[in-house]
Amino acid sequence: MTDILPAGFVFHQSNLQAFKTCRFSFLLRYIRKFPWPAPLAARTSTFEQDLVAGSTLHSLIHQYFLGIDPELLVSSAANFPDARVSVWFNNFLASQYATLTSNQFPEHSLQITLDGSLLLAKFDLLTLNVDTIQICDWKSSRVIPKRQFLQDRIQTMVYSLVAARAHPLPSRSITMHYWEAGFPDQPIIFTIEAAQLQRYEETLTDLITCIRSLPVEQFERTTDRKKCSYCEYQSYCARSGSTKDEESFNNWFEIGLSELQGQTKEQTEF
Amino acid sequence: MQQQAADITSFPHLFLSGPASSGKTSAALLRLQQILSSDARSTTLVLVPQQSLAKPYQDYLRSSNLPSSQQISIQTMSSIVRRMIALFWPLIASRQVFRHPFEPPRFLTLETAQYFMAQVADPVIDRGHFATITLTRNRLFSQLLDNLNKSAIVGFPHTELARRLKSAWTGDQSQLVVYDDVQLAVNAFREFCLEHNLLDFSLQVELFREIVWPNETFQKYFQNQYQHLIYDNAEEDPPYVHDIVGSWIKSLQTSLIIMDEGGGLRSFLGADPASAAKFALQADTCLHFEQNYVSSPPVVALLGTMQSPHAQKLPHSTISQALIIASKQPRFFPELLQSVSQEIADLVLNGTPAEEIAVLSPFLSDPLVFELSRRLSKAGIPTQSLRPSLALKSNPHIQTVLTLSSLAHPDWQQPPDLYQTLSALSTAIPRLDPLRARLILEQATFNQDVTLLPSLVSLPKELTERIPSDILQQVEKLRLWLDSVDQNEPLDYFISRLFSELLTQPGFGFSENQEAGEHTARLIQSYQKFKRPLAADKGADASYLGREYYKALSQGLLSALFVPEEEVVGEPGVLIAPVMTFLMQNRAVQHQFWLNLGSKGWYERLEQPLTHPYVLNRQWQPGKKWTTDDEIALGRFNLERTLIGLLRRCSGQVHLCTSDYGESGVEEKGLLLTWAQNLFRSALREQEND
Repeated sequence: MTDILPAGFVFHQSNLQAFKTCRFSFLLRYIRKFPWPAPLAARTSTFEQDLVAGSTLHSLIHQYFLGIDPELLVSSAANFPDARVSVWFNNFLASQYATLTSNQFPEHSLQITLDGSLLLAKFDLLTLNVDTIQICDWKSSRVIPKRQFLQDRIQTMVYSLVAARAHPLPSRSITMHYWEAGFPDQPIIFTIEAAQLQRYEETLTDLITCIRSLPVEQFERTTDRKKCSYCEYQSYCARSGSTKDEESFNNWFEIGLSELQGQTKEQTEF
Repeated sequence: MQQQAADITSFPHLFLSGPASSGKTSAALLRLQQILSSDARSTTLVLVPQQSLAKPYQDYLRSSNLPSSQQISIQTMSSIVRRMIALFWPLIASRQVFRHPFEPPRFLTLETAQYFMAQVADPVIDRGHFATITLTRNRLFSQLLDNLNKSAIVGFPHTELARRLKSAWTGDQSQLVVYDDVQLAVNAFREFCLEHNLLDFSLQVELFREIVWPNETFQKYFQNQYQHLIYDNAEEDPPYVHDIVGSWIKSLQTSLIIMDEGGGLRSFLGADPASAAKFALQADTCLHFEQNYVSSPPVVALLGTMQSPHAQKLPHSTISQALIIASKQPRFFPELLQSVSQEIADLVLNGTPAEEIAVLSPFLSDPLVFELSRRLSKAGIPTQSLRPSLALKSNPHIQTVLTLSSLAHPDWQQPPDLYQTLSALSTAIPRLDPLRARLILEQATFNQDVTLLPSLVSLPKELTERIPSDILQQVEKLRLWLDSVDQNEPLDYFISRLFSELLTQPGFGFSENQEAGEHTARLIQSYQKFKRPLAADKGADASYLGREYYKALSQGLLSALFVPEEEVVGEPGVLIAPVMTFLMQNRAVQHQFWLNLGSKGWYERLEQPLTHPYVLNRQWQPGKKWTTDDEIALGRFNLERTLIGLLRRCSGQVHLCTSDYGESGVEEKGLLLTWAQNLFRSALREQEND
């Protein structure tokens, strides 16, 4: 084992997804913590706006579950410069997900140990019922993602596994709800059974073992240049101007959103 | 004793005090371990006054690989305040404090607060206020903000600032008018913030104390967040933090408050040890640690005589084991640096690890750091300097990007001067030496300002013959690129393109230059922070934001006049740091080299004619006057506290380094030098008498 990771390194959906997308970007961003100018112009003109709007929606829903008067939240949403936020929040209030119960944990972090490594998930909303664990993830995509795309995401695996292992009750099933604020009536729901969880555990364990075993020179650049189209290190790798790719957009959008919301930071803030 | 402090069952609410190096933080780590092993589902808040003091806890968290490390949260109160205001903003909105309550808050950093203070205070100054004050505008703005911050962290209305300052003043009556001007400016700034949803640090603290903290919904949320508290170095926090923690303690399962007796080093920032000491009254149990686990026996002996005036005088042999002085004092400062470097090299050669050596001075100048690092590096000894971040614009990569930005944006009407452009051009095109760059630029310079780069075809033949054609082509490429810029492109987008499309291309100065990438990323980040609170204003288009940012940087508003963050340069090795920074690291070393012994910087406070950290303090008696005697007593107290703090963090010896002429080129005779001389003279006299 060559393990170049620092002691106490915490794996989460963003860094595992980054590794899957490009090993070299994982090395630069999460191990070397190497700042590099992002190719802002290569991103869409709405990238930043979408990030802020998405993050504001998350805050409003969080505030709703904390018990802040919904009328105040509606007024806040209505005064937000991006009009989509108000529409999204009203969609949320009208949805099945706005039902308040005592077993809900908004913006809740859980961490487990997987084969000696730390694995973290921060849930938008976790609901612990007697027979089910419901995980909700709020999204604000312009285009509704394909079911298959979400099913294969590292996020689905990490969230289900962490929730199941942190609250181990054999009879409980896990449901993972991706709720798109712009498409409120089309939630994408996955029911994850024990066998599927077992496969997730194996996949994630293999992935983490692989990361830990690689010598530094094997954190190689991806061969699929489409994945570089929104990567902040594209000029570092001399790969500026790669063809734009939806998956690359999604990956870097998710990284931006989670960092804006402080989801993947260490438990340290000054 | 440490095991006792770790026992959460017997001592659920514990107050632990003692001097530095007496094992308080080690005890806190033992207690943390016990909390984690007995209550894996709970969360512990580790509260510290500033980032450097969190290091032992961060190291513990990283090395322990705990399955439940998510259950430890290390924070400062300022970070909690900011996050909680953002999260509970609708509660604040409902109280109608702001003109547009339901619009999002616009958080200000220290730098952006200075920018907005300038918007408010500039017209006040232009109307003739502050006429007797000779400070630069930036220092004036920062002191105005400091006043507001003091009112918030001490806990009195900002409208009382002038009254408090005036009541303690004993000098010239004209200063009283200045305090009225201060009040006028801070009132106007607060109104401006309420009008535009701007939240500087003082307003954040006030809103948190008055609206968020007492709110029931917030309390329900916050009580659920943490069950245990470890609050280290409470003496370095201002009283508002103590008020908050004090009202919270009893609802926690366990609490440990730690106080360093010799602390309060950040008093000028509002740290209040007397306020922190009151936690002892709330605790179930108070423990006091006295053992010094760090200092060498001669240093312990020296500390003993300093802390107890009736102690027996130390023999010369003990003093000279604790404090090393050179047999021959060098005349000039560079010679002193040479001998210091030699002494350090000898220590390293004899087996002292470089990390066990620190070179300390009240202030660190660039030449001092450069010269010392150069000499030590020549001897193969690594160095690490730790000091407040340098101003953005003093970094050559950043300076290059900014100069090219102003050339590309003629509508900013802030053309760079010849020397600035010369330097930028040579950095952007390394093969173009400054002499030839000057020849090119002289073709387009008017009144020492450069508004554009000259085109290749406009250059006279005798000039083009003196410069290789490939370099000329690079200049032309740069010119064409700058000419093609869309004036309405956001500055961060522009910089990111300039960096990737041009400066990192083969032949240009940032190509394969990792440092240049890091610096450019820092500049982009700085601009993005700057534009965040401004972007919501009507008319704040990309061109306006770019121009304002450039202007603010040029005027030094965004420089590091007072930046709390510290920049670490270099790999672990001999530490070169300001005294106060070293003390706030809370670490010990075997050898300390004290430079600039004659400087008054060891004890004197900064000149602050618009504010007063000791009058705007909760411990200050209303109506009392601040006299010269108070100032002298403060200096002596500061010096003693600093010396004791340093000696308690020295496990070997202190090297007193002085030259006839100090770093500034003059003979300096401050209190520290006098103290050291008296100590040795008196010991020698005793020895002779014996």
